[in-house]
Amino acid sequence: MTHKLSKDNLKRDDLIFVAVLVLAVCLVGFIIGNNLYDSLYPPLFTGPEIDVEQVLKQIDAAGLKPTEARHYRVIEKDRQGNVNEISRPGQLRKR
Amino acid sequence: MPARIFRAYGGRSPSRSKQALPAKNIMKKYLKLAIIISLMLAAGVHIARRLAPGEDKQKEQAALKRLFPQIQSFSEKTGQPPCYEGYSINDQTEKELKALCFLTTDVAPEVKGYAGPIKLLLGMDSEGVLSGIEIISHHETPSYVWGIEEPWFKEQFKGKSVYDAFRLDKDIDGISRATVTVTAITEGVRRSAVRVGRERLGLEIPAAAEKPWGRVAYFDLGLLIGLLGLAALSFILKKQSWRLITLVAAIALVGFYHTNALSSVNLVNIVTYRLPGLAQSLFWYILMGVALVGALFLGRVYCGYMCPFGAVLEFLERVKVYRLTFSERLDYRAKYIKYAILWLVLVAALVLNNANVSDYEPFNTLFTRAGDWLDWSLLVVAIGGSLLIPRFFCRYLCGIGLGLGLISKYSLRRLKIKPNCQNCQQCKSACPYGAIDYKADGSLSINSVECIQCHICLNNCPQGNIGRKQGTAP
Repeated sequence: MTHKLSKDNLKRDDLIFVAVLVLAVCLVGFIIGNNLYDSLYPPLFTGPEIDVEQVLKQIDAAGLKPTEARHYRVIEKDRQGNVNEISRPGQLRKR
Repeated sequence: MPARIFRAYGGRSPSRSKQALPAKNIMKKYLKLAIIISLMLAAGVHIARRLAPGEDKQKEQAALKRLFPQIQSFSEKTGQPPCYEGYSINDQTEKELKALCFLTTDVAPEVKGYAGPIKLLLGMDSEGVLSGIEIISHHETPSYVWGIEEPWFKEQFKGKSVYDAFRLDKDIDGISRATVTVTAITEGVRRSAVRVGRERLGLEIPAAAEKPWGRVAYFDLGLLIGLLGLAALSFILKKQSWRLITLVAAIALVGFYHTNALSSVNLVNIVTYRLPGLAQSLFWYILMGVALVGALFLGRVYCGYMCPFGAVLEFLERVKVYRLTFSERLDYRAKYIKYAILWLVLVAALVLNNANVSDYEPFNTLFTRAGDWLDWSLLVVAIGGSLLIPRFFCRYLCGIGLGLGLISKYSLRRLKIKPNCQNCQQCKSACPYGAIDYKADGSLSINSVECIQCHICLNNCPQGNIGRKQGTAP
């Protein structure tokens, strides 16, 4: 399919170009921002044995308020008592 | 012949000479100075952070408690090899050695991952059985190695003995696309455990378990040499059909098979001197070496012949669903976005001492099929953009491409338009990547930072006025 050159198309193409570029730059910005956030605020806790209650205790012991934690490590227990982690590592962070 | 993508008008008018815009030039000069000063300051902060001792100390203390929660006290690192000694106090209030914890970087420093050493803390009881491993720090690319932080991966080492073989994919499950990292972790753990077992616990561990570190993958190297040969042939022949065959081979080998596309993270790792072991990453060394030497002598040959992501975008460009015909002035300005991105990630990576902040390119998402919604969204936009604009991502956002381009600016035998050019502008119309600019006097010149050495301009010049000449610094 060939693109017919016309003055209207050119103006429209400029707008499409700017829109695609802005979208791409925003996504790159978000990704770099996320990387910076991960680097500045690394996960507070890692390890499979931590559940929400323990996290709250550790937050308390660290002198922080529970509301200051942004994410919790989410786990579930099956009928055999096995603990399965639902959340991805690194989601529990200090603000 | 590739379609013309720019307006016939617009762009930098030949009449707008540099002399006519002194204020703009002064601003450019100050901007360049500010960039250089900020990079130097960031480098200073980086060196200070690298030299400062004990940045990981807090992490190590927390990890000690996770490895041995029942141990009341740990000594400072002591002995040879250096270990944290963990004691329990018995009924007679006597201290009894129960645990040794040690860093792989202290005991087996020769083992390196894809981006330098991987600092692991190992816990071992007095019988030579591991209580687990904790990752203290690493600089591997997260989109490849996110699995090593997963609990299941670390749990595999729990209960392993110094007498075990630690065979990858047999005793230890690997992570696909992260072979170098997982091999380095497994070998680092095994070597450290054996050395500490022998030298600190006096255990007699058979020497047969020792294997030399760093195995060269000759098959992969053979394939790479084949690709380089094909690239050299298509470069010499200057035929687009040969170049496209080379690009297919690059997608298959560098992209999907070896998942080793060069990226901004590699660039930052080189700047911060975090390099992988030579033997186990010879593929990467050769590819990066060819890219750098190629840029220094000829231009961005890696981008034009060996980059698998650029190749994918170039094939997408040939679908020609709809080709945007946008203003040249917009294109000219948009190209500066990648300068800002590269500057940002370089400064951030240096200041934070973390190369992974520069991990934004969608190469890994495509070739490893791993990433979060943001990574996938960027990949979709990069691919969608390339259906409208040739090599959209390479032109406006690629950090490694810019890095190689900046070297290419000073390349010794770069493509040039000869002085007897008739200014017919057929090369400018043919260049799909907007790498031919107007000079102040209205004549044309090839922008070495943007040119990917595809030779399309050279093949389209009716007078044969484009060639390689001894370059001089611009």
